[in-house]
Amino acid sequence: MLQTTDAMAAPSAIDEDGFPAYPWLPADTVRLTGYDEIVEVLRHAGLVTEPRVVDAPFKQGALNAINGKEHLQRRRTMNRIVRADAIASYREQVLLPSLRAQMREIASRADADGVHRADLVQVTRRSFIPVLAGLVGIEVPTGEAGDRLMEMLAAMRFGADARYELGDSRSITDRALLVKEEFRTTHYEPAASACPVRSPGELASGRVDLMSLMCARADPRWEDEGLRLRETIALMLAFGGTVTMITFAVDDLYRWLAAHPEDKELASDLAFLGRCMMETLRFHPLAPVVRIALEDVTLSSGVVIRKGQWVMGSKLAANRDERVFGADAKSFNPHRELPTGLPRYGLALGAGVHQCIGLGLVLGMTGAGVAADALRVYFAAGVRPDEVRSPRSLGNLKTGFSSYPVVFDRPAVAAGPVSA
Amino acid sequence: MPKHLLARVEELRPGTLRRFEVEGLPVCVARTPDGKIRAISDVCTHELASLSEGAIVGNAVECIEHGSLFDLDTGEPLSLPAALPVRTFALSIEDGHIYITV
Repeated sequence: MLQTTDAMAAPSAIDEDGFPAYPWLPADTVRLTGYDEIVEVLRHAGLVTEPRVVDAPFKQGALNAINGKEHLQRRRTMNRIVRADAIASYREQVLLPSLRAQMREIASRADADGVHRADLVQVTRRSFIPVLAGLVGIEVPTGEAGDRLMEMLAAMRFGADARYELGDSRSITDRALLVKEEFRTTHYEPAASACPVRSPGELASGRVDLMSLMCARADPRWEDEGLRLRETIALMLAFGGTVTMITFAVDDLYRWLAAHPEDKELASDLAFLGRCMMETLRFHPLAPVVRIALEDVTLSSGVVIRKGQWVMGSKLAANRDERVFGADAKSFNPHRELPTGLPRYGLALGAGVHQCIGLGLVLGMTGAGVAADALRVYFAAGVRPDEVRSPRSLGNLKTGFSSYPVVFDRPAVAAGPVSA
Repeated sequence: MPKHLLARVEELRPGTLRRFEVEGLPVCVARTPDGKIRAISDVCTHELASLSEGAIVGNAVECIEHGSLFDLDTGEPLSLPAALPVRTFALSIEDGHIYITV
């Protein structure tokens, strides 16, 4: 029997308003659930992100851990990695061939009963590794080397997310630091040594990657080699969220099509799949907003946040607010009608200056990006949840899957170009 | 409605953006590589960044903050994350000078 996705992906230490029981947040943390309030928090210059000691080795000084003018300059520089023309190139030349290769591999093997089973989390990671490598500027690993890179990223993700652990995070961080050193020697250093760019004038006018930007010192703070390594890791770790959201989208869409067979033909329509992806993002935001106040702040709603106080905003509560998203806000509906200007994905990708740098990659120009590409291939291949083996959550206070078993009924169909 | 002199045409190189303030309104004037000159609001409707700090991409302006594209003829957003259009302004060229009507 299929379980509800909320129950299997969100551990019980997250309350019904979407507030995780973070052990490191003080008891007087201000908690917000209002959509407009949280947008205001995200846009307020006096409320900032702050890396914790445990994740500092992976994120200190990197894009999402800095604020103010430093962040503005870094973000403008790194935006070059995800410009529209670069994204189009990644989709056609890298991701689609990679997805098809995964389908070919799955089609070439079947269990004793003739069924093609796979782990959707693993398939998506393998499909997207070449894109990730391209964005960052490291060598694309294949075969066992690719699997090892994914294991390294998973270990470093646990280390960087150690603050989300309920128990002792120290041992997790210690293991992750060993993996970080392995990543440095096996992937980062070879790529840095091989990078031909040494000054801003040598940067290509077309597609650029993070390594080229860093080698060119496009941001003067990248003179610090430790920061260059952390910037690389931080960008790669953001990939985990993409994998989780695509997994959720498959689950959401499968259930929707089961309940609405009249939409079956839309499973090959990129625009519809883009709306599905945005609705999934709205419905399953991965983590709350957490900020600390640099000064006393009074929000428009009258809520006061004192200097030094933490504030946590539940994207889950805000994204499912019926006053904002309609009477069926607590349900998945890819045909949702919304007022002009309200993003279909709600607060899932943040707001303000720190809004997700990967937004254009995941959602493309108008909603159909790499995520919709993956959905189209998966559903053309006849993806469905494996009703015998259950999904597993990450097991910490972060919403996500460590595995999602599926069956592909016709992987060979999706091994070649998928027609509209 | 009154016209305001912005600049001489030759002061705007093709492929560049420039910010002006007209009756308190921030305006982004774009001269595309083909030589055409258009004017839109300088304020991105996504997160209020200055569009004149961005870049011309085809017949659109790309916001430097989060990459939103706006059509220079209609002001309509062409890409996420922007969802609302920017205002457009009428321009006229007279004797090598650019005038804007607000």
